[in-house]
Amino acid sequence: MAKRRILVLIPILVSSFLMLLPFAWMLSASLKTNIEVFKFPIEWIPQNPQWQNYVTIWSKIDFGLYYFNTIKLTVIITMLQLATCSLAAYAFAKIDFPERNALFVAYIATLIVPFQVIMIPQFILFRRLGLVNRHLALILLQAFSPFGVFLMRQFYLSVPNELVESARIDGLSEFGIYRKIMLPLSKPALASLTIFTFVFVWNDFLGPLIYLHSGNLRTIQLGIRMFVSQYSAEYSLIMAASVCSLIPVIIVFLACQKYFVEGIALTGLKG
Amino acid sequence: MRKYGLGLFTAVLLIALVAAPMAQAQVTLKFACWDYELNQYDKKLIEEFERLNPDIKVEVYDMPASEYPDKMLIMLAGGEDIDVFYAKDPTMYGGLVLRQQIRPLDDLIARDNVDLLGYGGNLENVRVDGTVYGLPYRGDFWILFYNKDLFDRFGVPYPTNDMTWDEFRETAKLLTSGEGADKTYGTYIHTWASTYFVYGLQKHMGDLVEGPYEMLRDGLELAYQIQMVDKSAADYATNRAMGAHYRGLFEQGNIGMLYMGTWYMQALLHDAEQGLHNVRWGIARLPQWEGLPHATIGNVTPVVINSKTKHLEEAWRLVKFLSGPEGASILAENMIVPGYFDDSVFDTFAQVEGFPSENMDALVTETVYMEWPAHPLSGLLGRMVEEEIVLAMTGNKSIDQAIADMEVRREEIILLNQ
Amino acid sequence: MKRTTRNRLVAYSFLLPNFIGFLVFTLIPVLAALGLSFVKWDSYSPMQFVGLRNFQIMLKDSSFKIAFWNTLYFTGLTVPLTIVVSLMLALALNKGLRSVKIFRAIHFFPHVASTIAVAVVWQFLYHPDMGPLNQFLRMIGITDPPRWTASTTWAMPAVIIMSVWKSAGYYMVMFLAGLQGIPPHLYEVATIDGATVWQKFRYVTLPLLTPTLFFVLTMNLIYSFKVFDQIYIMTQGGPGRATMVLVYYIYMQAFINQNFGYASAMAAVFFLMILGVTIFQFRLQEKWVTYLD
Repeated sequence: MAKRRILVLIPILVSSFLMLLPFAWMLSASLKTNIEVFKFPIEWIPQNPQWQNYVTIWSKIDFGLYYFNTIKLTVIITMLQLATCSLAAYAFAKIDFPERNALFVAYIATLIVPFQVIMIPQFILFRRLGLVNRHLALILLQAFSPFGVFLMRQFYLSVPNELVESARIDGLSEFGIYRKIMLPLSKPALASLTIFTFVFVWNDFLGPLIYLHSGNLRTIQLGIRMFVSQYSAEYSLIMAASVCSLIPVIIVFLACQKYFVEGIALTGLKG
Repeated sequence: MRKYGLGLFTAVLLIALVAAPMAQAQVTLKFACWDYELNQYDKKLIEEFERLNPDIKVEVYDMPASEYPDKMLIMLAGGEDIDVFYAKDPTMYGGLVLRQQIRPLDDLIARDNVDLLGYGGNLENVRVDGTVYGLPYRGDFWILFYNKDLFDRFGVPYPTNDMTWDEFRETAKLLTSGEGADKTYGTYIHTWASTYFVYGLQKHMGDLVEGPYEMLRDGLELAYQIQMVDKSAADYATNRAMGAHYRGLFEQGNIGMLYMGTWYMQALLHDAEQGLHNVRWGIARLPQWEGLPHATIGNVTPVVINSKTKHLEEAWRLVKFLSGPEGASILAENMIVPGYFDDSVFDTFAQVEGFPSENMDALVTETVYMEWPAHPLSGLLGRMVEEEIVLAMTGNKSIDQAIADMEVRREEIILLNQ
Repeated sequence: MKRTTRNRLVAYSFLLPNFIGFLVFTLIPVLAALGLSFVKWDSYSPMQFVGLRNFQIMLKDSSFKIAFWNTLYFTGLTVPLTIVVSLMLALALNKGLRSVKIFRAIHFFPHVASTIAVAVVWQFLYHPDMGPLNQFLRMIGITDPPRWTASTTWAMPAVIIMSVWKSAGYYMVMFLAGLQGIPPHLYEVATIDGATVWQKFRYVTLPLLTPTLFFVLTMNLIYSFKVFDQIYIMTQGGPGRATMVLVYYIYMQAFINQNFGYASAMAAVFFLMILGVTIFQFRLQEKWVTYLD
């Protein structure tokens, strides 16, 4: 037993090291002056840690505001996604209606088209609707993601139909089935959708770039980009800002992790 | 609560009634540029303009420099009514002209008797097919920066205004020494494609659209020799991997010479003020090829008016300000070479603290060639040429092969885009 | 009322909130974008209908062909590598221990960090002479390590390695969620029947993981075909065109050449190709995906 543990542990430690190495560099770079960042040989632990970099990023640009904007957008979009995608996925997974497969393929198909070609038609549409330079544009853009529907649908498909059928026989409405049976069971899927949506919106650069003009609407990624000007790139500040922007996402991830504990999912199926 | 409500309502109504006429008298112009908050000089320009024109309010669309062309393209495609903006590079400018997104200015120039002399040669570079579509706001061109301390240390005389590329190469060798932390480099060749075009364009054998790309050969050979043989500059691959940027590197103090655009002067000054470096720098004209008349490469930034603007008069006033003597003197105070460069601007420049005024003649230009003609395919062709140059500079292809391939691919691109 | 009608009504009432948003803000722009394949448009001037001309040009475009093959190359290696690595990670970290949770978070880190920061770091790590990677390779005896992003041969593998690194944690999370859906009593029964670890995996885990595997495979394929961000920041398609992938070339034609019709036409070809693969996958899933029914 112990041997197997070690057999698994060693590769995990190696891969953890590999995963973390670039971040170690990032962290160390964030504590250097811009000139020292790319010096060779690499000084993993800076001799002269520039702790003030972490203060500078908040004062040099309105980082606090961008943080707030990003949190606001992320929370709203994530909640909307969880609600609308899980509802739609239930229909695709558990209700039999003629257009089901065709519609679902249409959903998936839109995931294939690269954003670069959709950008302009989409922007023109949003402009006609008067939604440019408003957070609402980004919310509407991302709250109805086909990806979320796909993910939830797959999960719902793996819930046995017998559960649903017997509930129907018992007289429960579809919405009741959704609320009382599917939702509680789908916590791991909801948790993972939360994480993915959170990360996506948090790190989204192109959307805010195109749709937001005003400085006070900016998000973190746009803020970080401000350290890259035409005539220089302040890498140490970029790294410090990136480290700061990592923290909330990690927190969300750790919070959602408890839904990934083995065995919680299908209590009630025994017998 | 209700009585407060009525009072509040009345107050708001009164304010609105009073404010409305005032608000109506003011025209709001939409203005787009890059790095507005980062580069304070545009801010100073706009603030001064608003001060002198109280009936105009300027709403600024600020965006990161590298995303500026793409974002402007999308916004204009979507019908955003941006009145005045900058055309960041010749490709963008050419595209705007082609798509008729900007308004020709010849009639307004004639009507208001705008003094065009101050623009010198820059005016030619904003003319497309004989028509002026924008006025020069900035008139940057390439010069040579050098580190006086390093030259003194190695006992090498400072570069003169008629240095040849061969002399440049030899001088670079003299300034290269040391290892590790003591390493000094004779020069640094930045990873932009422009840096590699500059040599070829000086030869004035044609342009980068029509070719012949043979014009690039000597420059590529020179750059290759300096980087890979003499090793007096870090090589292209190293620079790419390090995301190297000339600004920080030159300021580190271990690079002897750097040929770069005049925009770097502002950065050097700004960084010195911030205490980020203490390099004693000088400037000279861009080195030239033996036997050819001196020429440098220019990057004129025109300021343009949206052809669909609803506030033509106000927009024109802003354009005249930004590109004219008033804007020019503000830019000069900030060490930016404006498009309008007459004697008074010259003097303003010379008086800026920190500027090596003994090198003033380095800023006198005789011939300035544009990097790119305003041609619809300049974007794609520029990309193609850059790809081939990179292959040559990273040792993946010989220079002969690269130039040959450039010609072949040029034909293909032209064919596909008829 | 008839069963189908009733089902339709119920289904649409569930679908509606998501579908309306999807229709207006995603589906319509997508259809418009694909429609642009048949026009010549520079984003501003009036559109000119050109029929199939854009497609004819595509056949003669060497850059298109290079981008096409590079995309297949990238996808062909990235997808299997990512799936294998992320599945192994999920299996290994499928316990509720606190230490395991930390390892999970560590492996998810790369996905979470913004691409620009990560790409800058990797570019630096890949430095041919002094980067840590090549220093390590020299230390273990490889005297002439690859020049990575400076070499036309090794640039794509460099991007692939970075991509696997970045997304393994992402798909690991998907697999973890899927693993939660497997009823634990099945494992208990298997243990009682004397099954080995491998047999449990083969006969309990794998079949019941297939819906998730299908999801992961589909998404991974789509995202790999669509790769852009890393290329945009790390290599810009280079050196030369060694890492020029389809979406990057589409971006170039759209934004550098302002040839939106052509860019859309390429996107349409790309779209049909992947749609074909995805539909094929959907059909195939009936053969290998087990849904607990």
